[in-house]
Amino acid sequence: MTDTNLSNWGRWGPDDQIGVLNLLQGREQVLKAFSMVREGKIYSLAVPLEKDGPQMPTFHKTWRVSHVAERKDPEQSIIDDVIIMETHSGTHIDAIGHVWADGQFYNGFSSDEYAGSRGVERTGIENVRHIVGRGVMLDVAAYRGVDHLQEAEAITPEDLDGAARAQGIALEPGDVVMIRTGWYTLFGKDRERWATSFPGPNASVLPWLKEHDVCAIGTDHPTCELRIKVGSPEGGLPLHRYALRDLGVYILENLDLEELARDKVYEFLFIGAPLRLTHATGSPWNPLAII
Amino acid sequence: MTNENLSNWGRWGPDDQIGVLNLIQNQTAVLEAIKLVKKGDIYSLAVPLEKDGPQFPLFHKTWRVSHWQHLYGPELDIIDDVIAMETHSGTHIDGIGHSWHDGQLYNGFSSDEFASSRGVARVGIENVRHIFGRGVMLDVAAYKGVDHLGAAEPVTATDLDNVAVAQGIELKPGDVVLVRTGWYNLFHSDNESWSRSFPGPDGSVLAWLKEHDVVAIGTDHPTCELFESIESPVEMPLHRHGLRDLGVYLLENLDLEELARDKVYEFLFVGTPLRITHGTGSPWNPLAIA
Repeated sequence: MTDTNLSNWGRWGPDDQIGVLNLLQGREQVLKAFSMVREGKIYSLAVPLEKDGPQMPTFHKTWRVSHVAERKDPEQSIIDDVIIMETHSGTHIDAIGHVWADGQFYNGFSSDEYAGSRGVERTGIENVRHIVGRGVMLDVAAYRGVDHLQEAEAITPEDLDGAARAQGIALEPGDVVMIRTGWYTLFGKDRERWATSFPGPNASVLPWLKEHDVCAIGTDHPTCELRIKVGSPEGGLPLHRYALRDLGVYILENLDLEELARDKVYEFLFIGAPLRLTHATGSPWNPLAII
Repeated sequence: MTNENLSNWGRWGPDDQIGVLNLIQNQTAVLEAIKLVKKGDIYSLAVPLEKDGPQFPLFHKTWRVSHWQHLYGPELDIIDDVIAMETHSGTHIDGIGHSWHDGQLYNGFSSDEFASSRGVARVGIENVRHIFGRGVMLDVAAYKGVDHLGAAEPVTATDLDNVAVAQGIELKPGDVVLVRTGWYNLFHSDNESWSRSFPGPDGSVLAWLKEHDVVAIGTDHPTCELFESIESPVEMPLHRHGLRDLGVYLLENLDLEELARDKVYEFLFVGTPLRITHGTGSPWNPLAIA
């Protein structure tokens, strides 16, 4: 069950598993997004994926070990790695099946039936073969004239509209919207402060996502939410609860938006390709912004 | 030490860690590649990443478990996953630091100094922020009129030239070359044969890679090599000389079936490895856009 004003259930049929990504599936949309490329400059938006990298503070750290297989004749060594990680580590995308409530996932799929330790058999990340579309970066920190927002500072639709106007950007249906809070600049300087709380969008942003038919929304820290205290349920998770589950809007986390901010790049071709992890709830990735 | 005729050591300076990828790092090359997008068709070249998916037969299978947290009261449940995997599982890219001999990695970096259980501190996959350029698919199976090549059948430089001519494709410096053997067809129809041996490029392809300044070469099975038997040691000329001496990337376990069906031989290739610090490779989901 959803609040009908804030829901996309049924909009693309009862079997739909990809939500607002439906708006970006046509060839016209692809060609339109590619027409934005003028300079040939590519930005990778991924943070380092390593044990000490930016990850959700309450998670086990990503673990990797390399092993060498040696052969004497002819002499040859091959080195491989094994990686053990939360799929929601480093820079990643949340599948819309990452949450449920009242026994239902996005589009009404039953959690009893489709969720288990085997993963999510509906709305899993394997349904997202790629996100190729227009990307928009809203630099809320620069708009407010600060290096970064403050602890648990709320971002509202007024902030997003204000930043968009200041940047000369008009939102279009299907946009991938990335919000820069500047919080990532704290990661190298004051790790403890970085890990204690996060500024972010609050529930007031939900109608804004629906109004603009945003395909995905992301931030430059581990969770696209306002966290008063990391690890405490205080304040809830409105974007996870309503954007993923009710609207079918993807959430992007731990983006590195520093180079875009430095170059004042606010509009670009966005290309993101999740690992094709069957029934997984999300995927680490390395999305690109291209101008 | 390398054979000078088949080496790119020093070509981009003594500190270079990305090999032939240097050829497509500039804005002109990016704009040139973008022109290949004409229809707006996107093909994902990744096979399913799951325990029973196509993976190198001698590896532990990719393991994933999901865990459910009921932290936020009756109104919200969160489900996450943990994966444990070889970075060279499913569809993936080999970093040029994946193979060495005579104590040296690509460009002469010392394996004693830079390779260990912590990974490769030079030429690791984190140096490859993206591979964005012209992709070319050479459908050797279709050229030979077969569903798939035979067990351990070699693909030679002459084969690649012939296929390119038949497909009307001219190789250009900086191309990403994907070789279709059709072997992936066997994965479902005869999994035992699929996992016993692989057809693939033989040593004659090395000079071809150098001549055409290929950035990356890939196949539609778990190793971009000719494997007579999975159990016994094989020469791995592409790992031995392609990665280490030439700085050419290897792409493995590509799904080229849709490209073959639609006869798409030339496209924009976009591949984005995970930014795994000091990793020897990365699973990924590369796209062909035409």
